[in-house]
Amino acid sequence: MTMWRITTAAAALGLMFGAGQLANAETAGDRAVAAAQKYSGTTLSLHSEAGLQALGWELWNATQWKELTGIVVDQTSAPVNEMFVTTVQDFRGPANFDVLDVAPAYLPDLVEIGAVVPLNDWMDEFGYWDDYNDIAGAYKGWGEYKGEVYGFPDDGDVHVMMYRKDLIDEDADNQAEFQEKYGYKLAVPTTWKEFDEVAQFITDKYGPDIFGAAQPRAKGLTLYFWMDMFRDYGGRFFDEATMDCAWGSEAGVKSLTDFVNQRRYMPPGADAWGFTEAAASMLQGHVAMHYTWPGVGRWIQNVGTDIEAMNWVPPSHVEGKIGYAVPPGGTPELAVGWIISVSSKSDNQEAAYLFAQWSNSKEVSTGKTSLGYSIRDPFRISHYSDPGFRNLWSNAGEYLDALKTAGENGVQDLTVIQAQKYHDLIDNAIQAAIGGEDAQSALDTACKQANRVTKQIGVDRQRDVYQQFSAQENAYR
Amino acid sequence: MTTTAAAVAGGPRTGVLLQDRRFKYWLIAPAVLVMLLVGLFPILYSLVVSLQNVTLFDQDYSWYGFGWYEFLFEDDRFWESMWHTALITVIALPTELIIGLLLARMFLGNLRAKPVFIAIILLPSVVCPIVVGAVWRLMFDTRYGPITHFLSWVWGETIEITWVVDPTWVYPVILVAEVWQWFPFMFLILLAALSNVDTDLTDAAEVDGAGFWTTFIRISLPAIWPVMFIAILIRGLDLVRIFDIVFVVTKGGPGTFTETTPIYMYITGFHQFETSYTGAMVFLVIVLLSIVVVTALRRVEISR
Repeated sequence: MTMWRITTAAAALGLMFGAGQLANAETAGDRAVAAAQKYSGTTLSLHSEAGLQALGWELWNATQWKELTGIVVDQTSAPVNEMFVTTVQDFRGPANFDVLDVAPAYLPDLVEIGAVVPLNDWMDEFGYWDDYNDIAGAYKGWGEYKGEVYGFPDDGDVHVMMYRKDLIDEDADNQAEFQEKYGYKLAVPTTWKEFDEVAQFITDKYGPDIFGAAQPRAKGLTLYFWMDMFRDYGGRFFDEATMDCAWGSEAGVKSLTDFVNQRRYMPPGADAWGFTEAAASMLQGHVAMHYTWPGVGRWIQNVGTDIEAMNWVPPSHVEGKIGYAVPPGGTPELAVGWIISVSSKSDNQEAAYLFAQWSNSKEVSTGKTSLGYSIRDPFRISHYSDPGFRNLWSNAGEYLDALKTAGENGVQDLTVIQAQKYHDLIDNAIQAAIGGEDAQSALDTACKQANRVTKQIGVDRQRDVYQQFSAQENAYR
Repeated sequence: MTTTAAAVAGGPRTGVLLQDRRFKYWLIAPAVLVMLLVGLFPILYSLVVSLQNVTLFDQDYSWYGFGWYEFLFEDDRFWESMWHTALITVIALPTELIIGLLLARMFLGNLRAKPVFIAIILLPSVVCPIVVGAVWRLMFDTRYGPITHFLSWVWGETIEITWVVDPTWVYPVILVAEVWQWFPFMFLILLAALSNVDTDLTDAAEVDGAGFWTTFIRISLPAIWPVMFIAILIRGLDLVRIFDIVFVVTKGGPGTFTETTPIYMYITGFHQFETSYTGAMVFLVIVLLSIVVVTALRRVEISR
């Protein structure tokens, strides 16, 4: 009896102490840290994108998390277009991963095969809903599928335009010449027609030293620069009644033709450029306009590029001359993006969840998204108004405002079952057109293969998921 | 009586031979078993998987019959990839052979520092193909590539060809990289073969008034033909499997313009997770290649 009383008293005291700890932990991040203490000594395996994303996890998250909780975070990284592949392979194979970076377009597939777990119960237990509701509307739905939360949006990937203010807004001669030639004021373009005209004007006047624009156009990336244009032109991915592929519509052909023809004012060889080459051309002042992922917007101000890991990034020669805006068309691509999920085969699911909660929390994510090397981009309502971030460089506020507006008006990557197959086919069609094939023919070939994929998956099954996607505000605007 | 005694007493030759034969088989059996396991099992397993409906999304191991083979015969992209692979093979193989043969002929004599030159010539073959592809992609870069700069200097004006995207030039770029890496293999094999041609025959032909080409075609070539055939077979099979250089230089693009069969198999198997369909492709290619190789080997045997 005495032993029973002692044991009960000890348990009660322990519960009170633990509850007190949690109650005293004021932020969601603090609560995660407090709850994670019992997992000290554990190792978590994180699957992340290779390169700077992995660096951000290592230098920002893993180091701090280990100091705070004693939990070690090991990373296994893969190139961006291998991320989904390696996630599925791990799930079907050795199942080593605990925490996953997941591209939202592929979440339905991972949920359908049971690779990720819902997080709602832990969010209730550890009080994460306030922080979750601080995620900007553009990104919040990324981690949700069929009413459950399967991941926390952690990277506000949206294309943002960077342009040379000194050449476009502030040069009186350029203003006068452009007005005379085109009949309207020279300014950062808001439509695709204006984009073509402003870019051509710059190339005509300053080429070959400075060209009008450049974007990544290499295989594997072009789809992220066409899918929004396609929708701006009125295109829809599928005929919802029959689920026949609709990329070869008039909107598809016109947008693809115009996309290919953008090369006329781009630097020679731009058709083969990947993310790095295109960004470098802007950083070095060789192009006047460039829209791409937000990280470049920090590099171009030489923010966060002074560490050894960033010594491959060319120093910006145009610091202080850059303006930021929403890309032409007004509905930029919410391209790729990342959510943090927990693997269903993890032996440390709660520890993995707590790491995700802490990493995604307001304080931790605000710090990370302002770094140059992490290339994690603002995604919270609070990020856009954070005073520290807004004062990071002279027009950081303009950058954040542009990201906020871009996010609010952005369009999501096509998100359906086995989306990566359709993405590959779209990319092949664009590349074929860049290589000289007629746009209609390239899209028709891609559509024929896409229809076969849809038939294999099951038309009704795919329609259900496509309708979910289409119903979202950021599918078609 | 033991087998040996019986062999000595009644039928010595038969008994001893029988024992030897069995013993020989037992000796080589472990090695053969390992080779069968390593070589044959994956092929048979691919066949089994190709008759199922396995993907990494739905792991359905039930019988699917020849559905994937029917799908394969209607898959234009697969047959285009076969054509791309054949095109690279048919151009690269004779090019490597001719360059290798010419160089080997040049190196037959006594050259100063011959071993040094041979070592330099062999260097491309020891470089990893991925690196070769990456280097040649940089060499052909439109703005900064030395080849573009050199050609612009020769031409007298700036050349702005996007070598790795322009359909006119993508295949030449791939072939340059591929031939540059593997002609040394041909050179080495053929140098060894030519070095073993009996010089008495070639000297006699020279004395009889035969010119260089007649001697080469009538005496040297037939003498080295068995070795040359093996070299052609090995390189031909390598070219059918070409992946690294093409993937790094063009990723099979623009579109699928340079997509070879191995690249398509990689995409289908590892990007699209169509395990059974990839198995069908693999098995079909094995069957086709086997027919080609067996036919070629038989023809060589007949001609001998």
